[in-house]
Amino acid sequence: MTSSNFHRLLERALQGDKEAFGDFYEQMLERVYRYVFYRTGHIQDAEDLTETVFLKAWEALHRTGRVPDDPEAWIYRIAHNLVIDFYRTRKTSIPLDEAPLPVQESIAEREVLHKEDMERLVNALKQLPPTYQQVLVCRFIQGMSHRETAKIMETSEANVRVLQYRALRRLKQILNRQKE
Amino acid sequence: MSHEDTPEFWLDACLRAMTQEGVSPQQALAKVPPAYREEVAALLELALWMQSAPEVTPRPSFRRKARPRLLERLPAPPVHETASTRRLGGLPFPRPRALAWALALVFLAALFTTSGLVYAAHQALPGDALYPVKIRWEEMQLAWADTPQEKAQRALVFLERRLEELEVLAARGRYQDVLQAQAQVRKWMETVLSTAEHLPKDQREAVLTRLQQRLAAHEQVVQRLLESVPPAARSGLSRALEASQRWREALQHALEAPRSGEKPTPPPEPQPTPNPPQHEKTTHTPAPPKPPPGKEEDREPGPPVEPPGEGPPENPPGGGPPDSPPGEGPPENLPGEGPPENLPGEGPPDNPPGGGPPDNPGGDRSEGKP
Repeated sequence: MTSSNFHRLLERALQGDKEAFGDFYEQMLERVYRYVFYRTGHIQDAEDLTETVFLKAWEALHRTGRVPDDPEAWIYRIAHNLVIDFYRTRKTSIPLDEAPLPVQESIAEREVLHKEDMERLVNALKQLPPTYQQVLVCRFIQGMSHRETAKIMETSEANVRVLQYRALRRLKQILNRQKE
Repeated sequence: MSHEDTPEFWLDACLRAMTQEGVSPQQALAKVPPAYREEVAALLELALWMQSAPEVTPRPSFRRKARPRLLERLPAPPVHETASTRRLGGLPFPRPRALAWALALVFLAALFTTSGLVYAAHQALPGDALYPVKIRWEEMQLAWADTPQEKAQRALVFLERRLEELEVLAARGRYQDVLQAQAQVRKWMETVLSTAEHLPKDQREAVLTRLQQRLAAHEQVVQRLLESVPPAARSGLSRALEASQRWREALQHALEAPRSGEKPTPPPEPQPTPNPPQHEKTTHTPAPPKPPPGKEEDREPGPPVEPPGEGPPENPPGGGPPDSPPGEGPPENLPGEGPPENLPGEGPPDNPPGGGPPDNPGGDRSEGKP
């Protein structure tokens, strides 16, 4: 799905076409879910937040009366802000081991993180400042380019390079502390 | 230190080489200066570890229900502002914002309970119970003006309202209240002149010129009304007409004077007459005002006006068209009803010199609204 297709769907959504917005939702669902999951580490929270991201997007679309220039970056920004609000209002989070991790069945054949590793990663990510979480999830979990990440973070590509370095360093420190 | 001498650069160079050129981590690290190699290698390992994170996907049960549930939860698209919603006073906001606006409006309504009274008084005419409220409110607005320009502009607007009130009273057949309206015209005329004194010369002249134009338009309306009012009611209107003419002449005199900063001399106060008309409830009627010295013999009668029912009225230069023929109710859009939007130096006025209908038919009656 290209950005122009997203534009077309959102244009129709702006006219009140809920089905078009439903199509947009389905196209973006997995990516947003993954992004939110690695920021929260909890399935139920990720599901709730994912849905809320699109509800907020619908409201924002009609409030502003215009389709954003980059729908993907726009959705990720909404998701990022919601995650921040989520942590602001809910200080406690259910541990990962209370729910099964939503890992694809086929991943067993690939080099993947084990469940334990994923827990470590998510818990360490959650200890980072939101900007560091954002840059790491975008760059290394979602596999976005510098440019895509910069758009979402509304910053320069050069700053993304600096941020990813600093975020990795901090993450390394946290993981080292966890080992000790 | 150039940016290539930083670990940030080398970490990014390694990541780029691996993703874009397909080189191995060892090959990428080989290019990194030894001073940074260890640190970059550790961070690169961490980045790769994250990249190998499993493809997290939503649970099938969530995915299955996601779309219908979202569509069910989506609120109806809000109505965007259109010309029709503006006319109908619709709120062009989505629901949450509309609610916030509604609450704000309720708060404001509670806060400005008295403003309701002021608003109701806004339509009041001389002789109405709420008219003093209207005048008091305008006086407060005048007092709150920050600059001499603003004060003069407001005074001019309020004077134009007084002229309009007089015209409306006469058009509605409330001749007994014309005298009070005339007194208000005089009071506000003096206010305009005193506020204009504090303006720079060019702005002051512009105010006086505009005032002249407005008075000329007012005289046209009064002239037409005079044709249709009962004979017994003509004296009050005639006095209003003569007073306006004298004011206008005094303004002309002030504008033509060598030192145009001179304040125009107000015409003498109308004197009560011993025999008021029977139908008027006032106990005294002012005598026709005396013309300014030297003008008594020179005064020309007002321009001829076509009687009602004999065709459309003429709109001579300097006068605005009357809005409805006498006998058909009050004029809805009196000439000059809209306030002057701009003082000299701030843009053109609404009414072009020479009179004519304002740009804002119906007038901006919200001037005094809170």
